[in-house]
Amino acid sequence: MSRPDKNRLASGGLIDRAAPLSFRFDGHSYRGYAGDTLASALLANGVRLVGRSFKYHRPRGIFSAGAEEPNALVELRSGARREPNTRATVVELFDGLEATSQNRWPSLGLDVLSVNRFLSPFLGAGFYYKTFMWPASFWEKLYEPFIRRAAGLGRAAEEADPDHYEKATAFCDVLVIGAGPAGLMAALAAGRTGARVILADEDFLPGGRLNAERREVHGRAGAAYAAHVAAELASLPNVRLMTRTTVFGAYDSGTYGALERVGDHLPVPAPFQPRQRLWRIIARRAVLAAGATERPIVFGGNDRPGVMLAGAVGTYVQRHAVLPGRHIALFANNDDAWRGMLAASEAGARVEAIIDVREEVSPALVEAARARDIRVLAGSRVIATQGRKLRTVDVATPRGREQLVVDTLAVSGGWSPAVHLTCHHGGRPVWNEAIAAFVPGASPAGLTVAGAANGSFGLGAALREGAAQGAEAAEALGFPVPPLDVPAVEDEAFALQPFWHVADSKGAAFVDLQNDVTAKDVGIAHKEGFRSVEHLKRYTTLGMATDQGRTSNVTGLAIMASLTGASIPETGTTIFRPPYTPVSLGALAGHHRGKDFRPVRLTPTHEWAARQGAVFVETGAWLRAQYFPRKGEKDWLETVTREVTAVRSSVGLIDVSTFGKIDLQGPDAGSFLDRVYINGFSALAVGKARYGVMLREDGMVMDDGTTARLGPEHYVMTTTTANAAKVYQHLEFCLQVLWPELDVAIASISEQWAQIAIAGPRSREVLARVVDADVDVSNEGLPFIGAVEGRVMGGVKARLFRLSFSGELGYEIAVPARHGAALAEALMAAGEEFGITPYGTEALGVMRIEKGHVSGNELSGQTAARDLGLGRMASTKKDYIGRVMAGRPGLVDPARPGFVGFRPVERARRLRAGAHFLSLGAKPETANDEGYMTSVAYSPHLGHWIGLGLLVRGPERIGERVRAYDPVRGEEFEVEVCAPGFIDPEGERLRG
Amino acid sequence: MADRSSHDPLHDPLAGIAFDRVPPAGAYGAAGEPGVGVSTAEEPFIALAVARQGHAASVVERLRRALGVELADRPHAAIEGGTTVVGTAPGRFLVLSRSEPDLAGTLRAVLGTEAAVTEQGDGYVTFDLSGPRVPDLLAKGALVDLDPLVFRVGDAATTVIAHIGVTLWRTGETSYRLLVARSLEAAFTRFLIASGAEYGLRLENQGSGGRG
Repeated sequence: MSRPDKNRLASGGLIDRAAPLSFRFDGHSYRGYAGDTLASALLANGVRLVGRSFKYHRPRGIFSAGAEEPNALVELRSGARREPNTRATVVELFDGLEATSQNRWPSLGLDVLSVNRFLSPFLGAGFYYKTFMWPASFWEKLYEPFIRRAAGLGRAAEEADPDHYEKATAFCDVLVIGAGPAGLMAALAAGRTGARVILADEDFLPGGRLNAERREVHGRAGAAYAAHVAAELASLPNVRLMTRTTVFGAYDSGTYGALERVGDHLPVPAPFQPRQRLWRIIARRAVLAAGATERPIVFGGNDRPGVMLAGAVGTYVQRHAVLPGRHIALFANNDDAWRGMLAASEAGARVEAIIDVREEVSPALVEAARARDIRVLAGSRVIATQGRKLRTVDVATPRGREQLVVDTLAVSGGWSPAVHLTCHHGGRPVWNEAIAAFVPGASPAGLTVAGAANGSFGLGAALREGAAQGAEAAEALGFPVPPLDVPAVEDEAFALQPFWHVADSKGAAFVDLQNDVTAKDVGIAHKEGFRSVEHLKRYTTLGMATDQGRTSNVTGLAIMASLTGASIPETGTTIFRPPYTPVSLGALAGHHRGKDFRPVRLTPTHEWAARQGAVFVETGAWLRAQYFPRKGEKDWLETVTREVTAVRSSVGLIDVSTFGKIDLQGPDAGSFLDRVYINGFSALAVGKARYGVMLREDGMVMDDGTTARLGPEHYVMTTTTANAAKVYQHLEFCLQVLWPELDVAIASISEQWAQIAIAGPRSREVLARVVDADVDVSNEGLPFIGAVEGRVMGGVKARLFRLSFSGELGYEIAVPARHGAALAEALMAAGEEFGITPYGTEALGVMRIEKGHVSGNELSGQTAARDLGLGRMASTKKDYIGRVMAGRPGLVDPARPGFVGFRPVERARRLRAGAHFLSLGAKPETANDEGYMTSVAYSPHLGHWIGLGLLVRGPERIGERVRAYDPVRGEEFEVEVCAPGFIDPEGERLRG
Repeated sequence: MADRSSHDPLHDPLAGIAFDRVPPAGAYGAAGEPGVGVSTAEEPFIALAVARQGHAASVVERLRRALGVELADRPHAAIEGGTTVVGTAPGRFLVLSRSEPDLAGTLRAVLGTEAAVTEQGDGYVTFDLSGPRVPDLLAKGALVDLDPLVFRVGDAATTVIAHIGVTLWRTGETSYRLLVARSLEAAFTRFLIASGAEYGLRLENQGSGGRG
């Protein structure tokens, strides 16, 4: 174990020294405190080398203290919870934390692939496009595996994520994004009006820069003031303070996406707590107070461990009481960095020198630096660095070159407002010359921007703007605004001389540290014509990956601007899309994964079927009995054959409750049905049912089913299982939008009624035993397609329909759903002497194929009624939805594939759904395609496989032979075209 | 650091429970006083009245008079004794009764040809949710504003929770009633348990397994 905390200051910081924590990095044990991040704790322990870079495997250290971190990406945790590319700068330290460096082999210190550095002339901008083009066959075998091994960063976990994630929705009047000085004041101003306020901050500690600087507010230390305001906010019932919560996207109509890291700061989420929670926040107004991100200056050797953003140095010193190094120099172009470095010096950091590109710096700052024994090198710049970890820095000064011995070089090129969310509706940031930065352009409606995010870098301005915008947002929503005493804080001067790149420096000068994009790469892009910022980004990969170029975008385009001779505003900037920081897919899925991916619907007889040994199948959202295997049956085919045979020879039953059922009442119900079905229903007799087909507006078949007339103004429609909701929506649309003049009331009764079909020659006898005495189910009392209401099982309300999908004598019996299982039991008992057999969706499918009925496979959305042999059903005496479009030339073309049956010429052959049809002797190519097999089944009735399909001019080709070509399974053989009805084509069984 | 598997009952309150059965009654999740109580029942008598064209106002008036409820044509639950009338869409009212076996018949008599009445008592399972954390739990599935500051006692919503269609109304300070389609009882109960476990959830139901 290394000497604990060797770089920790003896006092100060916002850490809890009474709460020491131990953690491991690359197998070594270290100590930190509650309040540390992994990065601050590593620095406290003197760990400066934390990873290898993406392309060149160069040693890298910690560069920032926040979400913008490009370098310090580590694998966090292990096993199923292993999480790659985690930014050490935002990982809250916990006891027992384990992290490992990534992108190195065999170890961080000795990385074999770092020879890539010497290949760097070949790995520059456009490397992928130039190198891996040719030959194409090398891509899968050579290039891709090479790139993945060489350039990939962390490793994803290989096991299923053991944690739970969830989603939630919150509504508020005012959403404040960011809890720095501007955000705290905005939330306070809005919260005190009584408005519902949500204040979200990605940090675990509210306060933002107040925690990282030495400023006084209202007579308290900045951090103490932040804590004081946060405490008041927490006490207000109308304010929700959400820490560890990143607002990552602005969506339509005031909807914001946010990710709350509920358990990320714990080794394992607390019992029954989710790991993360994805919030949809619907806000009437929002204040963006996301602060600003510091950007570096680009120079040769600027990626060595020890080169760090100046503000990050300040954060580590002030907030974490950690000295990032023993000997620090600053390289900057602005006053703010000076102030931070002076404060760090006061807190105990040894600052050796301040190197500023400016010739003239405020005398007060120079005086203050000299007073603290800090050398001032004005008009100077860093031109090279040395050391695997930073050891020395070469500086060009007006008096010549000199070398400084430092282990830490703080760098600041100014600050860029965090404008990201303002871009999410397409707003383009606007260049502000005074601060040499992009500030928000047009923001999403309802969103205003305060403080540093708005380019107002003074602390006083941040407090004032935040308070004003919080109050204004609440006032605009009608809340009375009480006066708010905004702390008066001096606005520090923000003097800056734009400076981006030390062009005469030596060694690789990195613009984008995460993607290993150098200033030279920007030059290559320029030379090769990729000069627009969008091209620059794609060609060099500058600004991609987890940090989205927070520390590199502006410098990259500034360098491009200097090459083209255009100004920065002329050069423009890429804009930002959601998410602001990465969001794990688990959070987007929430509760809905595995078997909970989507809600499962259970039929009224589910339990009963399970007791019968059913195997279930997902059909849409429903779980239905697929077949009921019995002991000794060797496979599903044997089971299904038994079930079909039982129905055809005696009787069987199946739950068909999953069909959509829609109740229609009103004087216009009949004419309404006439308009939605291709065939007529207004003339249907009361007590009868009819098969109907409905089309979409484009003339294609939408759905089919039977509709029964129970009374002069009362119909009950059934739809297919798959289309139940869609058809209901369609009817609702027709009534509300197309024909509001029709007096029809519709209601879904799908859940109200359980429906069981019984089929087979003995089905009438079975039915007769369950209906009450006064119900006549004789052939005369309940003829084919009859529909009556009556009672079953001693007084249970029922609807009886004489319908058949199987081709056998059959009935459907509907009872209130709670009686569904009892009805199944009653039918089983009543049919016991006939060997009544429960059957599933497989047997149902076999029988409908034998009978030649169309089903979901044929109602594919690409078939017209004519194609399916249902054209004759279409009425010519009335108008209906889809009629005009069904008559367009393309749909009445006689060469369209038509619905026919097939049997294998060699009867023992097994047919395959999906096989395509070819004329005998035709080459198997797309131009000769004549349609495809839609459904197949083994027919127990015929003793061989049969199929249904769509064949060009099919109905004219009955008796012909074609080839069934199945390249997926490598099969090809002849089949005979036949009429699509393999059993009882005259329908005698139905009417018997 | 013990990894939680999907069978770790400390983290997965649904560990070991079949996904195609209604989870059994009992205490789920955090120990102690449960933050959410759930009790399910088949409300025997429910009917839906859909006003026929042009009769919405008159249907409201007739229902008000016949049932003695303070009804308006908006998403609101009017409760009087054992009768509740909930507006689910313009001119659509779900009527629940504890005591009227032929509820649909009664409504037909009251409303005549002004409304289409269908029986719905078998189509729904009622979930009675109570406890201080109910709004937090519902916020994990609902996309409408159920903040108690805004969604007052008597307010109703017909919406989607965790991809499941739900009609719900606030019955008291910390109590809510939800109507969920019968076929989705298991799926909805699973959502409640998974989302309510952090507050502690007590489930009382008929334990029928499949409501068959």
